[in-house]
Order: sequence, then structure tokens, then C-alpha cells
Amino acid sequence: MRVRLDTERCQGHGQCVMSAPETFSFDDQGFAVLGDGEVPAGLETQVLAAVDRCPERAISADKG
Amino acid sequence: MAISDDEVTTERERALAAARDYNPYDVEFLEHEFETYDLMREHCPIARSSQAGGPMGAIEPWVITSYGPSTEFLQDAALFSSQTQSYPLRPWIPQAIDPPMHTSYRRIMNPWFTVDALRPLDGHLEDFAAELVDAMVANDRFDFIAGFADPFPTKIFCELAGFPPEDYERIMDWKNILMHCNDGHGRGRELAGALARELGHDLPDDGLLPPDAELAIRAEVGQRIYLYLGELLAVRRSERRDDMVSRLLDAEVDGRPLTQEELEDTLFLFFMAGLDTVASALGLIVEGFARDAQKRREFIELMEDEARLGPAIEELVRVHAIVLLPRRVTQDAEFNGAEFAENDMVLCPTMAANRDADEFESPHEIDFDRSPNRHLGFGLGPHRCIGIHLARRELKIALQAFHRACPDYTLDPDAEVERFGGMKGLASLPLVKG
Repeated sequence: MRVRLDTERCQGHGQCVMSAPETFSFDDQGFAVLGDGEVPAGLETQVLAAVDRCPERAISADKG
Repeated sequence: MAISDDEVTTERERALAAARDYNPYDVEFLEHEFETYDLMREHCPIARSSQAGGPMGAIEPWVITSYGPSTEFLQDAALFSSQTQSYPLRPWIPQAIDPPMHTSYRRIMNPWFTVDALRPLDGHLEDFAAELVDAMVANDRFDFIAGFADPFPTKIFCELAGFPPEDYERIMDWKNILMHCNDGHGRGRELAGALARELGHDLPDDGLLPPDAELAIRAEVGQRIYLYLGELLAVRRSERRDDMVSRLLDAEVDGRPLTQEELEDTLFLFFMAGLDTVASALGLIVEGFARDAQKRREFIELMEDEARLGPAIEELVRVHAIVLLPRRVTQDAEFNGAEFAENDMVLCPTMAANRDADEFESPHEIDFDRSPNRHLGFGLGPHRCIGIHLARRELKIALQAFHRACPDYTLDPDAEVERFGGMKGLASLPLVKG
């Protein structure tokens, strides 16, 4: 699974970091940071929760 | 009206009338607040009010009560400007500023409010919460607002910002005049009335302050606050401390230091935004728990489990959202079926969007495990509450400390809860242990 973060939409609510702390972190401004976007096996549920919980709808995921 | 027996038509008329008369500053409105928002959302989710006024100063605003359009509204800073021209003397930074300048100001302050930056504060928050709770619950009857909800977040914020603790009473009084002169807040009304008379206005003994008196006292208090902030800046200029006033003095915006006016306008916003919000949320949450012992017990059972506490706090903020967000339309536009004209005012009561059944299943129920919970209690878009992580920590620590010391309580049957509207909350919440 791959996940994408729209940094233009992110406003730093932090729901993704709380839902999937191994995938998302904060930068020094408090906005979300995502690594290469590859979601390791076992973390899909967390990442899908992050997608779902972002109030700005800034995160999307696709399987494959 | 041709179809006089059509119930839907009647309901729609009631909804349009509710929108026309919409006045969230009126304490009576709060008695049927959520029924009114439900009615408006069903029949006229974007409706025109004929009301004016309140501290946010929105004249004949459009009111958005549904969730989807509320999110579009808050995310579109180009169509919906925060420069609403309803501030005392000068607009506050960065609340009343639009991008791109808004972004430059936020870049200065964002790092002060991150999770990592606030983490070292936890021990202090816990100690201070426990100290206030112990003193308060030493009595069997107590006012949760005076004993805890007001002093806890406010004194913490004064410390962080750098407002001297001995100025607390004065700062709270100014805040109460500016924010609560006409919303049912007893102390705010009393202080504002006295000041208005001092300034030569004839006033009725109770009821609303006339608009000219309200403008005059807002300008006067605004001026006093600016004077106070100017003096505080001068003191910190000669000797820096570890506080936000000092950091602002050393900050740069677009490669230059902030001007005196920018410094004052930023501190003015700190002053207002840091003093009321968490206090109001705490009061409403604990009032809800005093009325619903089952929900309170449910909360107490989960509150030591950090993984469940986070979502529970989000749910409490959703249900007890306090913020009304005003914007000004920048150009004629069709928006979700409504025809907005340039300079129209639009209000988003986040408490209405947060109870939209299209987004939240059983919206009037508290579900501590609700997921997803994309509520608007902290706002949305570029002006999202900068203190979101501070507020979450304070709410967690406050609710834990209080319920550890006092798990059982009810409303005091011999005293009244004092409520205010607008950016709503409680001025007093008398409770009895047991």
C-alpha cells in the first residue's frame, strides 16, 4: 500500500501522528511529515485510520 | 401560503424564522440551541440572519449549519477573508490576517505550540491542576469555574505568554468586558456597564448595552490593553525572559523584526484567545458530566488509558464546541446554492457542524471511541487553533486531576449555573460532592 500527504492541505491537527506514529511525524512547524509513502505490512490499518481521521482530508492511500 | 396543511412547509418556515432571528449571544437561545441548529440544517443549511452584533460583529450574517459546506468555508481563505473589521481599534494578528501574510506570522509562532515544544510543560500542568483541585474539593460545595476552569488554563497561559501573575485579576476583567459585555455573563455586563457610565453613557440597569455604549467601552478597553501591552514590551525589551513576549521581540517576519504595532496586535490576540477557550470547554464538559453520571463513570473508567483518553477528549471537544467563526466574502459567489455578495458576513458555528448526522452518526450522543471524528472544534484550514496541542494537554490533565480527587458530584440544587452565549461557556458552575 502507498500513502500520500497533501502538504498544501495539512494544517497540523496531528490526527495522523496519533493514529500512525510509525508512518507520520511532525516537522518543527507542527505540520505532518511522511517518509517515502510505502506502508510496510502490518501498518495498513493504522494508516487507513490516519486517512480517515484527517479533518483536512489531506491524506490518501491506494493499495497495490 | 397555498399548502397550509403541509407540515414540511411549516417546518421550513420555522427554520427560516429561526435563521432570521438567529442570535447565539442570547442566553435563551442556548436553551434550545441544538434543536434550532438541527432545524436550520435540515431546511436551510445556509441561511440569512437579520441579526447584528455580538463581539464578533457580524452584521446580518449568513449562517452555515451543515458540516460539508462548513469545511469548504473554513478551508477557502481566498473567498472568505478573516479581515472582518470587527476588532476593537486594530485587527488581531494572525487571526484577522489573510494568507500570505498570515502564513508568515504563523511561521513565527507555530514552533512554540508543537507537541514537542509543549512536552516539558506536562509536570507543571499536573502539579498546578492537583494544587487547584485539592484546594477546591476541600469544601463539599464549590464553584468549578472560579475554583478551577478559569484559573487553570488562564494562569498557565499568562505564564507562557509572559503576563505577570499579579496582573491576573485585571487581565480577566478586561477580557470579561471585551468578550462578555452583552452575552449574559454577569461580571462582564457589570464591569462593562460601570465603564460605560464612567464614559458618560446613560444605561438601563439590566438588559443589553446599547450599541453606541458597547462600541465606546470596547474602544476604551482596547486602548487600556494596548497601553498595558506597550509597557510590558518595554520591560521585556530591556530584559528578556523565557516567555512569548520576549521571543516575539526577537522574531523576524519576512526577514525584518516585527513593528511595535505588530507586536501589540499579536499579544492582543494571545490575550483573548488564551483566556477563555479551555476554561469554557472545561466548564461545559464538567456540567455535562454533572448531569449525566453514567457518561461520567464511563469517562473515569477510560481516563487512565492514554490510548483511549485522546479520542475521548476529541469527542468532548466535538460535543462541547464553543467557537463561532466569522468571515467576510471577498467577491460575489455562488456557494452551495447560496448567492453570496462581496462583503457579506458569514458565520460558522462549529457546534452546529459538529452535530451534523451526515458526518457524525448519532451526533447528539457522546461516543468516547468515535472514529473517525473530524470535528471542527479546533477550527479548520489555515486559521486552525494554534493552541490545539496545548488545549488537548490541558483538558486531559485537568479532567484527570479533577476526577481522581472528585469522582462523584452533582449540580448544586441551591445555586444557579450562570451561562453566557456567543463564544459560549459558563461564568459559574456550582457543584456538590457525592
